[in-house]
Parts: sequence; C-alpha cells; structure tokens
Amino acid sequence: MTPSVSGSGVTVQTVTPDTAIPWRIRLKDPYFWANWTVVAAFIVFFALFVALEPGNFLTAFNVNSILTAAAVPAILTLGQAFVIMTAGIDLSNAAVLTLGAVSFGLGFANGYPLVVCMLMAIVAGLIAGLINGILVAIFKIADFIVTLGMLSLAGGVALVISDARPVQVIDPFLARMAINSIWVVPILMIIALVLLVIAQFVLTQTRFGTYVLATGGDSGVARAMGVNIKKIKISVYAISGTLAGVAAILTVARIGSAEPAVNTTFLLNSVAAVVLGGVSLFGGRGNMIGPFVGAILLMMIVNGLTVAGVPQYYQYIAVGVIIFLSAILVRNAK
Amino acid sequence: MTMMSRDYTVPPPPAQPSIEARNIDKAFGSVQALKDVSMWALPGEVTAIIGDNGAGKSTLIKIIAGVETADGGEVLLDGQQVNFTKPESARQAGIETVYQTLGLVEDLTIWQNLFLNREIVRNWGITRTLNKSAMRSQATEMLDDLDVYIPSVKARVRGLSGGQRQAVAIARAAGWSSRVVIMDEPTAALGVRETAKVEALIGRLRDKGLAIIVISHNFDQVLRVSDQVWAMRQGRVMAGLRAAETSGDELVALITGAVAGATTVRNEEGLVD
Amino acid sequence: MRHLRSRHVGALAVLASGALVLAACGGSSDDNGGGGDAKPLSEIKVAGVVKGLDNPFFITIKDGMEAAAAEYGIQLTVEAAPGLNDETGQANKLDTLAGQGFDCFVVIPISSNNLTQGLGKISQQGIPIVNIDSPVDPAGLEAAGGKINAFVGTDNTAAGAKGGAVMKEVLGEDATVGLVAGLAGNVTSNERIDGFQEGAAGMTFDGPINADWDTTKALDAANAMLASNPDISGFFAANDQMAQGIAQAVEQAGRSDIRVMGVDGIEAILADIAAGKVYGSVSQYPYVMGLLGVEACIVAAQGGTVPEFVESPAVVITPDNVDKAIADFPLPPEAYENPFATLIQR
Repeated sequence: MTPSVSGSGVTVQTVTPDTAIPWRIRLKDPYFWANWTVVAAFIVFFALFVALEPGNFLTAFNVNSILTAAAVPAILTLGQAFVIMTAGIDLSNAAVLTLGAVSFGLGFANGYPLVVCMLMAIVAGLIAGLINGILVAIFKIADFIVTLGMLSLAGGVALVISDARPVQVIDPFLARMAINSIWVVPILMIIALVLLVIAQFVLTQTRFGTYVLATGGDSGVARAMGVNIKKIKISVYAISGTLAGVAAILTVARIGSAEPAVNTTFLLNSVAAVVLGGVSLFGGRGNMIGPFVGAILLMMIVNGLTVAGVPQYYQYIAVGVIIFLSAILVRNAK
Repeated sequence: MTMMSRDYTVPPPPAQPSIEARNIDKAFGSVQALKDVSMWALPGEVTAIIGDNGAGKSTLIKIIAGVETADGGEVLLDGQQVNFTKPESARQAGIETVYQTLGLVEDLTIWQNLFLNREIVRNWGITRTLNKSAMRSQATEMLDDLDVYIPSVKARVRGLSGGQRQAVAIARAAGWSSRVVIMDEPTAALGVRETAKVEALIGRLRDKGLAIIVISHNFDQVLRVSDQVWAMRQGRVMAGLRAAETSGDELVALITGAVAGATTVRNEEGLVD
Repeated sequence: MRHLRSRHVGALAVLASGALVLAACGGSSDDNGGGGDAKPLSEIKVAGVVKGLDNPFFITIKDGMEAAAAEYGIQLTVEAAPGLNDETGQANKLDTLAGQGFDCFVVIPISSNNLTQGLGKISQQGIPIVNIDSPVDPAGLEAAGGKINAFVGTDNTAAGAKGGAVMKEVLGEDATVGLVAGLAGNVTSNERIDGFQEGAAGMTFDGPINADWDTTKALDAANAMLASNPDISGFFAANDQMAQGIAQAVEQAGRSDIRVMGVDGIEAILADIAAGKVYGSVSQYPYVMGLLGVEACIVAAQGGTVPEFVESPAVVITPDNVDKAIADFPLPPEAYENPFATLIQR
C-alpha cells in the first residue's frame, strides 16, 4: 500500500503482515538482543573452550557430560522463568526438588511401582507450588517471603518424611534413563528439551502465555482488562513446583538415591540462568529459550574451566564474573 | 462585568441518548460524592463533563462504566435500564473506558494490547492457540480505520510516543465499543501537536456514531471538540449546555459557583428540585 | 540504539578475553592414553575428586595427595564440588574428568550413591578407582557396572566408638553428653554419632541435633542444648569445625567443666586441645588417607594388585598426646602401616 496524505496531515500506511520485518530493524530492537545475548555468549564460550582444549572439550563424552549436568538445572530454570515473567520469584524450587525426591524415596521404600513413585514426586511439587501461588495471589504476601518460607518448610518436611536418611533407589529403568543417550544427547536432556518445547509453545502460542507476560508487565492494567491475575499467579508457581517435582525424578535417577539434603546451587543457578536468558526480573518479557540456553551455558562454563585445568577457586570467580558481565550486557539492551 | 444568570433548566435530550444517568446518588462513607445527578450523551456526539477537583466527574464515569454502583438513581443504555455490578458487564454492553493511566502493557506489542483478554484463537480441541496473523491484521485495520499512524502493529508500546499510546488506547476502546467510549483527560499529558491529533481522532470516533464522553479541564478543547457540555460542582450537575451556546467564561463561572446553576431537572417526569 | 551492535561485540570480546586470561591460569593437559604395565611414573595421571575444598579436613587430604604426587613424580588433578552438600555438582565434576584420559581416580563421594553412575562409566573404561574416607555403596556400584579397586579409610563407626570410650572414661557413666551431627542424613555423620553412642554406652545422650558441619550452627545448637539441659557435662561433634563452635559456646557460657570432643584431627583443633578449649578429637589423619589413596592409585595404574581394604590410622588426640601430635602433624604421632609403598615400581 502506498502512503497517502489525508486532509488532517495524518498518513495511512499498512504493514505487510507477519514475517516481513527486515533483519535490520530486528537487530535494533532491544528485546531481540536481551533474548539472544545468551545465545551469542554461548557461542563465544563454546568457541573459546574448543580452541583451548581441542582434544578434550569437544569430545562426544564431554559434550554428553555437559548436557547431562545441565538437564536438571534447565528444567528448574523453565519453571523459574514462568514465575519471574510475572514479576515474581521462586526461592523454593531447590527445596521442593528435595521434597519431590524424598516423596519418591518414600514410595520406593514402600515398594510402590515406579510410576506411582514418580507421581508422588510430581504431586508433592505441585502441592508446594500451589501453596506458594495461593499465598502470593490470594493472601497477597510478597513472593520473596512466601517462597523463602516454602524453602524452609519443604526442606523440613523432606527431613521429617525421610527421617533425615537417604533412600537408595536402584532401578534398571531409572538407570537406563540416566545413563543412556541418543548420539551425544542424554535422555535426561531430551526430556528437558521436550519440556522446553512445551513451555515455549505455551508462552508464545496460548492466551495463558500472553496473560503471564501481561501480569508481569503491568498487573494493574491486566486486571483492568479482565485478566484473572490470581489464576495466572497461582498457575506459574504451580508450574514451577511441578517442574521441580519432575526434576526430582531425574535427580534421583542420576545419583541413585533420594537424598534429603537441599542443594541450593540449583536455586541460584536457576535464577542466574533466567536473568542471563534475557528475562527481566521486573517481569513482562522474555522467552523460554534464552533461560534454557543460559542453564546449559552455566554448566558448560564449569565444565570448560575444569577441562582447561583452571584451579577450583578461580572457577568460582570466573562464574561470578561471567554472570555479572552478562547481566550488565542484558541490562544495557534497553 | 457580572454574568447574567440564565435559565439553566436542562431541556430533555433531543434524541434517544446512548447513555443516560437519572438522579444518581453516591456516597463514600460520610462524603456525598454525587447528589441527584442526571445527564445524557447522544450517539454521534462528543459530550464533555467538566468540573473542579472533587466535583464528582470521575465517580460519575465509574458508575457508568460499572466500576462503582450508585446508591440511588438509574442508568439507562439506549433507553433500557441497566445495572452494572462490574466493569466486565459494562464492557459487554458496549461501554469502553480509556483511563488516564491508559491501561496499556508497555512490554507487549500493539496488537497484543489491542486484543488483551479478547484474543482470537484457533481451536484445536484440547487446546486453543493464538491466531496471531488474524490479530495482527485486524489490529492494523482498527488503526487504519481511525487514521492512526503506527508503522507496525508489532512494535512494543514502550517505544511509542505519548500521543501514539493514547491513540492505541483509544483505538482499543473504539474497536471494542459498540456504543459508548469514555475518556478521562485524554490529552492532559500531551503536547500541542499530539493533542491536535488525538482531538482529530476523537472527531472521527464521533463520526462513526459512537457516544463519546470526555472529561477535560481544558475549556478551549471542550468548546472545540464537544457538542454537549455538563458542568458539575460539588457532586451536582450545575448545567447541561450545547457547546455552541456557551463560552469559556460561563463554564468557569458554573463550575466555581460564581453563577447559580440549576439543579438537574427532568421535564418529562416532573420537576425534581 | 545505533551503537547497540558494536557495543555488544565489544562486550563479548571483553568477556572472551577475560575468560581466556582465567583459563590461562590453569595449564592444559596432555591427552595421554592409559593402560600398559609398569607405566613410567612421570606419565601417570591421577584424578582426585573430594568433597569440598572449603573444609580443612579435605584440604589436608588434598595435601596428602599432593605430597604423594610430588614424591613419585606423577601428575595429579584434584577437583571438588562447590559445596559440601552439592552432590550433583560433585557428580558433574567426576563426569567431566572421566573423559579426560586419567589413569586412576581417587574419590570421596558426598553420599554413598551420588558418584555411582560416573564411577560405573569409569570402570567400564578399565580405569581403576580408589575410594577413600567415605565409602561408596557397593550394591549400587555393582548395579552400575562399577568396581572399586581399594578402599582406604577409617571405619567412621569405629572412630566414633573410640571417642565415646574416651568420653566415658573421662566423665563416667552418669554424665550426659550432647550430640551434634553434621548434614542431616549424611552417612559419615550418622556412623560417627552411632559409633560414639556405642563406645559410650551407658551414658545419657541429648540430641543429636544437626548443624550441617557448620561452626556457627553448632555454636547455636550447643547454646540451645545447654539452655534446655544445663546438666550436660560433655559434647560430641561429628566433625572438628562443629566442635570448635561448641567450644566457643561453652566458653561464652562460662562452663569450663564441659568436655568437648570432635572428629577429624584438623590442625586448628590440635591447637585448641593444647590450649584446653577442646578436650579431644578422633583424628583420622586425612593427610595419610590422601597419601595412601594416591599411592594405591599409582600401584593400580601400573597394573599391580592392591589390597582391597586398608585401614588408615585413627587416633584419639587428648591433652596427653597432643604435643606430639602437633609436632608430627600432619602425620600421626604413631607409626602406621603403608602397604603400597613397596608395590610401586619406580
């Protein structure tokens, strides 16, 4: 359509629909950069490590190790991303994972079939998530406090259920799931990828996804437009809890037992990965792919530094520095 | 020069109003926000409500839009009495509001904002997915219809100027409204050029046959843009005048009380003092 | 916005060069195949995976490992998880090292199971594994297709029992002892506590309360126990760092009559025993464990056979022998058995 000038000095212009936004314009959109900075960083570090340790880094074995290590963090990151997009935060996911693992162990120790044990883990996560969501959405308690409380509560309940003793879980199916791979991609990571596809679909192709972003972007406006804010908030926390339950199953498979200790590294990495992935802590924007890649990136960095022989203590510093720099980069993309 | 007090008895509406308020009372605690307020707005006209702070303009608007409920009196839509208990009901009846804070989510795109909570979906049985291409093209149509210049409906609201955002908010209200569009201080935050554009947009809306209700502090604007003006003071309607038959000075006098207005009257039902 | 792209490229370059500098701090490792009989010492590469390097016990194990490596001239890499309870992190480390061409692994798993899968993969490559200090669960390992060549360690239960016996001797059977355990559910902690109670059978026990191996948490736990039970005349902690916290609590409460005992034998606790703040510690000579572990690995990497179970020395250090213990640190004040030294071919 050609532009035309009407009497009041306003021009009319139609935009060709859908895909025709030229790449030039896309590259200038700060949102594009926020989301894809992490992919760029991933490529840079990947290239770096390959260059440093060509024989050792880019082996099938090593890539497999990285992907295995990244599966559980990636799943937790997906849940955390949903919550952070509503301008909330879930500090309890690591503890809910433990709760899920211990629930699994309880079932296993009682001889229940594997499927039942898995359901127990997932339901435990779901319930914890629902409690979080209800307290935040209906009782209007700050998300920080609610999930911090759940961190303690879930950890404590896990100790009570397990009597602070781990339950050994030896099961051929779980062992196969944890060890086997397709080409270099471990089954654990394939599970995570399937969840990623579902999460990204839900975020971008369903109304729920739009409402999640609207709730985070401006909950007052969203509510005024008739979006059910309460339902959205409860849902995202429930999703985070459920995913923690799924992650629990994978963790039990990987380390061969249901352990009652909470691993707070999972929590910290999930938040870091979400921020690295371009999701604003203030909510309202982002996608699922960025955080997922961020989770893998964090594991790849630790692996790469180990392979390169960087002393342990410098590894901590390196990871911290990288998170700072990436956060600054992402922040500048406004 | 003293103002001649003239007869502010309000004549009945010359045609069936889109929206009419009759004898509305509303109190918040011990504060009487609205006292026996009656007014009307015709389709295809711009109706302005003016008044000082605390005059009750916002409260009246909220009652019409279903955000508040009146303690007494009635609201009629196209002559039928309605009782809105929540904003959603008013919206479904065709009444849309553009608030001062605009009600746009900055991080979402224009088309996402236009369709928020009214998304077009494709039904797959177990799930419903967004029909983005349909929404985008309809969004473009909605804006084109009102001669609003936006380069792409895929742009995020965050990157738009104040006037453009206002235009989007108005387009959204107009796009979904079938009868009444209410605007609370639509150009209060805009510069001269953008104000002109928004006023032109309001004019186009009116030409489509909607009843536009505008709250404004800018009397020049009121006289420029509106057809009917309701002056309020301390919870009462002082006068309802045709814009062509009044002046800025008179409006000021009415809302400040320098001139005694009429209490609202309904000729057909008998005089109410 | 125009400069967005160049700014990004610039920042990424900074990132990249920063990481490059950091990576250059470490050396790069040669890729050397394993196997072969009587491999020359200089070509042997041993990997150690310990529990955590923020704890003096494990740092001392690392010291012992490095001493052995230095003595025999082999290459040694020691890695740990970021924290004492990061089981997955430790498993990740092991997985990473498993593919790097090491000739033998020395491992201390955080739990009896968390390294099992990685160890299975290592065994399947024919690489020998030496397990020290905390045992890997044998059933789980077998199911994963793994095999431990040798275990070097102290029976934690026996260690606890030794401590219990000493406490009973010092305080008598009628006394009450407060028990402070490590991370909830941890096998090592459970065994030490259980062992202590066996060795001190007949005494009354309060707790155990979990203090997560942490000095401050142990201090708080001790205060709580003292407040609820002023009759306590002794404390036993599952590790020395917690014992130090308890000793502080006892001192602040002005209860110099209370006897505090720990397990580990770290250097700091020896000083505390000499100063009278702590009564005793069951020292497990982490230095020796590390030493023996690496030596066992060298033997195995050279194709030799190692004895399956080697007990590393555990001695209760009290004011009676603390001076000699300090003098001999990190080695025990008594002689110990080393079955590996003779097996190593130079």
